[in-house]
Amino acid sequence: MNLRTTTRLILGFCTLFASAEIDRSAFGTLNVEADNAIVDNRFFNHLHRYGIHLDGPRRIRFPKTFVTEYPQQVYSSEQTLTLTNKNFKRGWLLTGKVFQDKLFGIHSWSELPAEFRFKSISWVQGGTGSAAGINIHPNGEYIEADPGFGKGTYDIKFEVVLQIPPFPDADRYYGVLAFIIQ
Amino acid sequence: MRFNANHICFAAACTVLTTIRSSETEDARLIATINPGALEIMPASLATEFSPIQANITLTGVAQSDAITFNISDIEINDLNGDGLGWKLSAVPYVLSHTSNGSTLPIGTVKGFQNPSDVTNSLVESPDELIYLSGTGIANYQVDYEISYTIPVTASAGGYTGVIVFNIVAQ
Repeated sequence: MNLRTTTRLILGFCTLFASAEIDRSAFGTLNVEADNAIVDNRFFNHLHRYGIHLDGPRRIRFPKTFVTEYPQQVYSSEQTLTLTNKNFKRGWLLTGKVFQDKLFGIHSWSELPAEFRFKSISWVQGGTGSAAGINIHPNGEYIEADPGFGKGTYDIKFEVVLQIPPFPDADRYYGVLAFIIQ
Repeated sequence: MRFNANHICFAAACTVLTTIRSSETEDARLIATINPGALEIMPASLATEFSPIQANITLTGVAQSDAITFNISDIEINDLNGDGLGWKLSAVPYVLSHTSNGSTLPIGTVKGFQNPSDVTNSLVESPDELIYLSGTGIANYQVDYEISYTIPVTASAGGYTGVIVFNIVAQ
């Protein structure tokens, strides 16, 4: 398997998370994509029966950065994910994860470590009228709604931080940030 | 194929996760661009006029080989272009010219590039050519350059000036 094929497989995997963006990529379709898409859609529909829905940004662009001799931390602007839960009463766990905790250089295949963290959650409408019973883990990795809580619509703020080492390769870097609620 | 194995494992793990737990997913593409910085000879390191290391230079009636020596110290290089390549630094020295009558002093011995701050990755191909082998990038790299000029029998007394052109390219 050559590098090109590997690239396809990596992007193909991303469709596991039902990414419309990546489905439209120029890399074409592999069988693995189709298989995973079926699995994914089945559970997507299953959760929809309970009225849980996530909606967030399709793309997150980081501020322009230059090669430097010192390490840099680059923050995404604060992003918003909207969680709507109409019927599910047994609580939920929302996690966010940057795929492999890295972004990958499209030409150089260099890696940039990336860290994700939830910052805040605020009630918007419905449910109990507040964000009571919903807690962000101290390291920001996940948010948990206790049983009996978490119904309604919430705006969740998060950010991604790139840890750019000294003398990185000048390149365009891509990654995938996935949210899973279960 | 390290990427391949890792990604497949991760994909497999996530597939298992999806099949044992009810879940909904949402994803976003992360896009970051790191732009190249400069590959440059720091202008400040060559901004001054350089004087010979000899305090007094006198005509003696005979040719004086290498009687005038310049040591251009601490030429500073930054490689921040992030191209994963090394670079080549070259020097082109010109004769010294009399400030009034245009007579010249020829180039004598060229010791060239010396004392690189990173010996391991520096290769002096010739006195006028230095190759930096590492593509990882570097900042505040320093190197010296030394050149001598000969005073011919017929040299005129007076002031002389000259130029050395330094050039850096990625390679």
